[in-house]
Amino acid sequence: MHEGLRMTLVLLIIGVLCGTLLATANNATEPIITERIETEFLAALEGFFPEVAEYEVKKIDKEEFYSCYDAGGELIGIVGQVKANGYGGSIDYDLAVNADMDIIGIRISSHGETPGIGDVITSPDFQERLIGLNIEDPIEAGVDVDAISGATVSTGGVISSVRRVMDIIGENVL
Amino acid sequence: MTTLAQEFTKGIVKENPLFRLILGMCPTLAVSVTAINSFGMGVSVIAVLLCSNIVISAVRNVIPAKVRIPAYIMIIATFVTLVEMVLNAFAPELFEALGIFIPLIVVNCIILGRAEAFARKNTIGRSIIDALGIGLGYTISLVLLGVIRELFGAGSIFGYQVMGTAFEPMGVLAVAPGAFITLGVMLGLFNYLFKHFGIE
Repeated sequence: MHEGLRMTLVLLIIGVLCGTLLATANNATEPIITERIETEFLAALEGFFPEVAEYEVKKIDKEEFYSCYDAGGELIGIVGQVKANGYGGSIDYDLAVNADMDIIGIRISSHGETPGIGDVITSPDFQERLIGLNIEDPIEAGVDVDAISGATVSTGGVISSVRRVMDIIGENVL
Repeated sequence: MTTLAQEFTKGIVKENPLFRLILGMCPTLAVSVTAINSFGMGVSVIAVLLCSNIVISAVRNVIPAKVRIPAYIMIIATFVTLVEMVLNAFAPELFEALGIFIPLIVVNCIILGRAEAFARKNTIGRSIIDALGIGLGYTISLVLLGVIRELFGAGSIFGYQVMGTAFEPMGVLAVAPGAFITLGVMLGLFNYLFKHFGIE
């Protein structure tokens, strides 16, 4: 066989095989992954507001906001399923705010930050810097929340995203 | 012809990927901040290296020499992505721990290096032994770096505080320059030891 043709064919076959394999694996695993993420989120939501009886979902610009009500129909808080810009792409996280607009919890659900550097965003030490702040607070890196040196892009990205999300909640949800 | 035992131990001593071949530096510098991260990266590399060595050795007579590199890269990237998806779906705890290291493996030249230098010229059996030896050698040296950097950079080993409260952590070891300093010192030390004991 002609050499050039043989090289093209071999690469083509490998490409097709790899592509098919990945597509099949993706089809098989994606529903499982989506379902697990959903279950984990609902568990986290109940962790933030243990007394939640029902919730209502509102979608604003591709981000979802869950208004949580207790058994008496009283609004007890909001959990936003939101995104921040990190060093390694998008950081998906949940932000829980009570009815007084205080931040009561943060959960990073997926991120691509550098292991050992940017992944401090998942540490309690960093998250506790945000918990307890109110919508009336500045919530700004270097003002009332300290970014972590060495991971300024990751931590700063989360902090500015929290400010943005608080504004969205303030304007649209309550 | 080298024996199988020699094939295995060469990856740990004579052809140690980190201290002798100086391969896979980029992810090494990034993850060696703590011992546990190093261990996670090491285990992920062993898994992917094993799969890619087996496949590349199996198709070694089919792939034309001129296009072998793109072919290897496709095979390696497929395995890495596959491992990532399967772990995410079926072993969420493991994915939680190793997930962030997996994409780094695509750019780890140890995998491509072994495909090029070993698997394409050897049988599947020998390629498996080679993958295990090199993978273990990489894991051991990476954990060694991680232990040193974590011990002096944060005062702990595998997350356990060992240095006591009077110890002032050397922050520089926990950041990128610390990785270069530790690696340089280790390279020098190993070169000295190899010379001293006459291993070549």
